[in-house]
Amino acid sequence: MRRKMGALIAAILSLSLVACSGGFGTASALSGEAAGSLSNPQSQSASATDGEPIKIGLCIPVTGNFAASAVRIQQGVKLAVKEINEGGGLLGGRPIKLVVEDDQANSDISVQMINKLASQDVSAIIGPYLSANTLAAADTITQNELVCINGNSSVALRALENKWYFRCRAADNIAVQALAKKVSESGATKVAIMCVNDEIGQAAAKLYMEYFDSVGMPYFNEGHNTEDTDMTGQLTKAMAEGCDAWVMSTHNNAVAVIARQMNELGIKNQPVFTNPIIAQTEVLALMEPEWIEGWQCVSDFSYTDEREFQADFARRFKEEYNEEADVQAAIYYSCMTVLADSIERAGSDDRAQIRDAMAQTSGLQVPIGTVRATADEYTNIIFEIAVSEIRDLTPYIIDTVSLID
Amino acid sequence: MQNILQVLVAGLAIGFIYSLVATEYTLIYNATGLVNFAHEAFIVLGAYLFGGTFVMLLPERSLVSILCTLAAMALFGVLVSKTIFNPLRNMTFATYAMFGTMMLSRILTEIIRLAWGPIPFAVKGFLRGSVHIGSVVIARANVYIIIVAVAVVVALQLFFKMTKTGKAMRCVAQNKDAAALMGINVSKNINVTVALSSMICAIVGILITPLFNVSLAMATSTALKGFCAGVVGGFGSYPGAIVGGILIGLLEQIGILFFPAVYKDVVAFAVMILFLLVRPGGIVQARKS
Repeated sequence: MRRKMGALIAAILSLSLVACSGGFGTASALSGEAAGSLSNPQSQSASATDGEPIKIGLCIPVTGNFAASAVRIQQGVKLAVKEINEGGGLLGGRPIKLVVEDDQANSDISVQMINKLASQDVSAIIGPYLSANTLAAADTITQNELVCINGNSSVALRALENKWYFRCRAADNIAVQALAKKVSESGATKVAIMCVNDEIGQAAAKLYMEYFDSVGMPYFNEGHNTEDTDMTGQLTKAMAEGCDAWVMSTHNNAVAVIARQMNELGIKNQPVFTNPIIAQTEVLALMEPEWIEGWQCVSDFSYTDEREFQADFARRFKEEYNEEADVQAAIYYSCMTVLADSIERAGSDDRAQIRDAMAQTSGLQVPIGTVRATADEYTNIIFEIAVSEIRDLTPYIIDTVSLID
Repeated sequence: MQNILQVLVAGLAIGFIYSLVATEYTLIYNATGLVNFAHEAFIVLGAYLFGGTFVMLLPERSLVSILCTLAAMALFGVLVSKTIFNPLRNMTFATYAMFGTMMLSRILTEIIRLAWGPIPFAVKGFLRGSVHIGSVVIARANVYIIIVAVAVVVALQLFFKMTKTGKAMRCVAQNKDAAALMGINVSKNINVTVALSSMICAIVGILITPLFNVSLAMATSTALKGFCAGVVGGFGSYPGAIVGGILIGLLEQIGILFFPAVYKDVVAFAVMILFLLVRPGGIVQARKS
């Protein structure tokens, strides 16, 4: 009896595992619940549009280590979809329908999900979230002739010269150049480079080292892993090297650990510059104010931005979700806006026509800047970024950097 | 010199965390013969119950929140023991039982995600700050980790040696059949063991909350290295779990002084493999009849 009970329990657990797994099924219901107050744009806008829906795929890490970012991504995309559908949809009244797939921020699963979305006849996809996942899925995107737009920042993506992939965000070389210049101007005598040991972090570290070599700034490079929970070794080594300025490119939990331990070790009143991670609301929620007061970061968007277009977006976002607009939400709202504009100008939901239209997008204003795609430039369509300073756990834009006059 | 002292203190603190993790699954292994691959999820559940529920319900009352968390996890442990560990321990093939605990881990993680959401959060003001001893800075959380870990280990030893239930648990660990013949209710004893193990997981989860924040992945690395610590110390041995944990923690931090920090994780696994090849019984050479 006990053996049968044990076998039955094992069977139930197996079935439950398959049911609970976010990697092999549509995650729209789960993502809706997990995101809390996210509304369903289709149900609200049904009366405003008519016609066959235009399917857009959303390939994001609904579960896994980056699930928090996926919540923000969905907020941004769904707000854009809601506004578009309530405004009458696209192509003469056709509503947008999102098809959400969970890639768990895993490269293998990203490839599977993109193939799955392609088989579901989506016109384009937004995602994946991580540059490494997009790199892994690049061939799949090409084979499926699927327009792909996301907010990845790795310079390696531009090197692919993939005509189906578009990056709606300033690339890392722009961000790194902006911050590295500020380090040089800060009066620092030696810089600690602390970047995460993945594709995005190591690409940023390489760019930093190239810049500092070119200007003769001494530096000390010590990486860390995404899941590292103690940075005492790295920080004490950097202190022993005499570093008096810090640059970082890392992820959510790691930057919270670094900030706390820098404060505990008495590393204060030194310039610290990071990637947009510390401007993200869920990361700021992990911090104490004194840990990151005065830290600066590149930031595609800040809800404190006083420029009219950005402030209006922040207001609409807060009305919808009752919380401040996050960087990731703004980036992916922009992705959806660019995609919708491309579909409208293409006059069709055909993938190739959407791609051609997107490659000629110019002058379109989105929350993170102005889109300037050119026929000669693969991938990049945004060439500006802001620099924010954190004061009392709030990012304030203090500078903007643009490669285009 | 200051660097060395700093990393030694950090290594000692994290080593005690590894020791606690190794201790809690040694408890379950000795009682049931099962390796609990769900202990990571247990730790995370303890942290979420503490930071995501009881602290919110009882602000400014950390001690009460801790006690409520421990009680809740004890009940959870009894439930899991009755429904999963006790039935699984009698399976024909131990592999099935192993997969059962792995599935339990996945299921628990998804339940936590659905219940509390995927966004990490911090328990503000809990064990924050640092203590200065000369030129060495120690996080307040690390001080509490060392104190609590030592207290737990001492309390466990007293429990096993001086209480009837503790002695019964030792009997069950040595020989279940003989224990049953002596009138010990083995299933009930296992329920108590798993409840105790769950409480230790909750203690680990609460202690690492100020260090890592509360997130679904907060215990991944810790749980894995706790397993290595148990193997290095001597699988199934409580003293071995403590020694192994401290050794792994110290070696990890000292290693950073000599090679790039990105290879820190290699230390725990390399040491474990070395011991498996050279001294499989671990430092304490644990023997199980």
